[in-house]
Amino acid sequence: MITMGDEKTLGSEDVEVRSNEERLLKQKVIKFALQKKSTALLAHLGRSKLGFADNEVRPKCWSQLLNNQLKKSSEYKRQQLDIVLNSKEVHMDEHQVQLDVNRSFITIETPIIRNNLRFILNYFIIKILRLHPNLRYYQGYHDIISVIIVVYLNMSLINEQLKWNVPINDVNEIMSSLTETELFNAIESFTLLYLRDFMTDSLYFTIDQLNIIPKLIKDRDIFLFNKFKLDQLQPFYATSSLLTVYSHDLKIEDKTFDNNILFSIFDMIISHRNMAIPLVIYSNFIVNAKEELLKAYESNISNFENQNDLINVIIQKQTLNDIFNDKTWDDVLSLTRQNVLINTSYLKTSNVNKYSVLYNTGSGKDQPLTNYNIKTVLNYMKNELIINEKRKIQIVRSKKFQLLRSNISKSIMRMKLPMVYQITLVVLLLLCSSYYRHFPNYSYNIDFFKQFEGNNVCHNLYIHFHRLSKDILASINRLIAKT
Amino acid sequence: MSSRKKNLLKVIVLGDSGVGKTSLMHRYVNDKYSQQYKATIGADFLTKEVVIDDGSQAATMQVWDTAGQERFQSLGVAFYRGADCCVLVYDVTNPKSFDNIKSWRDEFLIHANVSSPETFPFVILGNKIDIEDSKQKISAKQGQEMAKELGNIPLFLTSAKDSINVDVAFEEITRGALQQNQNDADAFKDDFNDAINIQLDDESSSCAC
Repeated sequence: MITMGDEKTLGSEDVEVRSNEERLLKQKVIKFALQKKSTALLAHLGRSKLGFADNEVRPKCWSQLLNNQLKKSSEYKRQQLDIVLNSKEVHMDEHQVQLDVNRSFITIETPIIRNNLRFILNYFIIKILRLHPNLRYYQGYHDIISVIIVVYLNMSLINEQLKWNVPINDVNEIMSSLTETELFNAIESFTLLYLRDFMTDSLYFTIDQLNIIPKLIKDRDIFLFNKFKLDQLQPFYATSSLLTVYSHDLKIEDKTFDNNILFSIFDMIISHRNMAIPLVIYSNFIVNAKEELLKAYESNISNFENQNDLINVIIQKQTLNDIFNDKTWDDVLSLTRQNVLINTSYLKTSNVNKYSVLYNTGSGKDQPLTNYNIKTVLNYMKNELIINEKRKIQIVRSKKFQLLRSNISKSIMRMKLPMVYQITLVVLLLLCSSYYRHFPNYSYNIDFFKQFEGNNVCHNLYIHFHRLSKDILASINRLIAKT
Repeated sequence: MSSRKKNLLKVIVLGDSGVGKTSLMHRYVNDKYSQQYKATIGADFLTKEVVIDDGSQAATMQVWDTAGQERFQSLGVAFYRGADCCVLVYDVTNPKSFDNIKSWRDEFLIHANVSSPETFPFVILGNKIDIEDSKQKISAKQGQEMAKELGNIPLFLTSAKDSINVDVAFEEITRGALQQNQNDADAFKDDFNDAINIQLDDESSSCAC
């Protein structure tokens, strides 16, 4: 393990020299690990400060790790090649891709270079989508793929390369077909191993992941958690940070194409095989900015329509502020390194689906050398898509039920019944709703009952409630029909 | 925090991806335009101090910008609550964005839980009129017809890029929001006197069973 000493006693110039030395030293060790093809050592290096140090070695490290984590048989590769070559079928999200690609790489000032990068970005996203037509593109995916592209093209050298200064019509005018293959493989593996949950047509699984942030804060700072009532609002403040792994706000710099903080977050995810890292980072940002947040809370309390707006805005503003502060990042990242979640007990009380990346490919539990077969991972994805569809139906049903409930309660109010009857009906209705809330998926009998196999008490209770609720609804309906 | 904030006007901007929601908001609040806005992910907001009518009254306008891709609507919904005006934006060069205006409005009404949907103020903006005529697919007439059909909603043809009609449109938005704010404050008083209120919690806190 490379340990980085205490820098507090050094002047800023010394620190710079020293961090440059660290970087060079680290690069040497990384090259050694690459030469020895030591996946375990590489993973270890990627986890520590500076990550994989720079983009000369970083793409090789990512490829070595990702290729090990996701095994693609030569048969798969051949099949997929055929599919891509023969597939002229347009993916349904290509229009959205176009819109976002046109708004990408905005920090790159030279138009011709920016446009070439956009061409490449578009090419790879479309290729992934056509190859995996059941994946849905989400806004923010383009930010992540931009990062991977910049890393693999080792862009710091491009100003010396003339080929970048003419508009391209084919990615091979800029990269060798070997680079293209490596880059594509990295994009495909990173997507399937870590971003799968985001690539359905809804935000359900994204929100499930976001909801882990309050749980992490609760463990770290119960006062802040209670003060902001973080369990009572959905943590939408972190949406873009999670969906883009911070690449929406951390910008790739013009000319140097550098942003080692951003790249090292990707290093951590790939080396730890842990997609909870963006969530841990966010919770660290919040806990770290406790004083500022409490102040902002007091001074803004009358500036917002409701608690949801207030908390979401002050947290989002504060984090946006901190994200541009390198010192805060140092603190937050070193805190994150000390406290990477490998214990997945936080999942037990969450809504995260059992095929989620947080349960398998991105759980942080796997050893550097264990690997997944692509078939298995594509199967996870298929299952996630099925669950996504079920959730959708469930939510529609739930909305319908809500509407029905409010109609019934309005009718009860209008019925001019004696007070006692009214109250009884309302209580029955409440019972019925709370039953429904706890067993929202009762229409999916088969799946639902499976959970209770061998547990007769639960099963009977469930059946009982089911019948009860039907009876209640029926009797309410009868009453309404009568009056 | 259930009481109405009197000097706060909350405005929600909705519309398909790429119609210019962020640009319009920045043009109004900062009087700036850039070709290089990144796609909005989640929700974002800006504030502007507005002076009302004769200058006797000041208010803060909060303009909430939302991501246009459909899936992000489930986030937007959380922010619709307490809105005083909803701005619906389409792109005059993009017929699909025009066709979707109605569903954006309906979606808003379903989720915002507004007290009286019939009187809630909407404003429609047909953006990008700076683009050459041959590329404009939706005429002013078509725009007006739809605005009328949806209940005489005020319509403005705008350009965030060339700063055409943006200020006028936001004056209308401010007027509508102010009126709504007043109505809601009155309604809140009435509501408070209602004896039985059996509004139940919403379904969002589903369990993990």
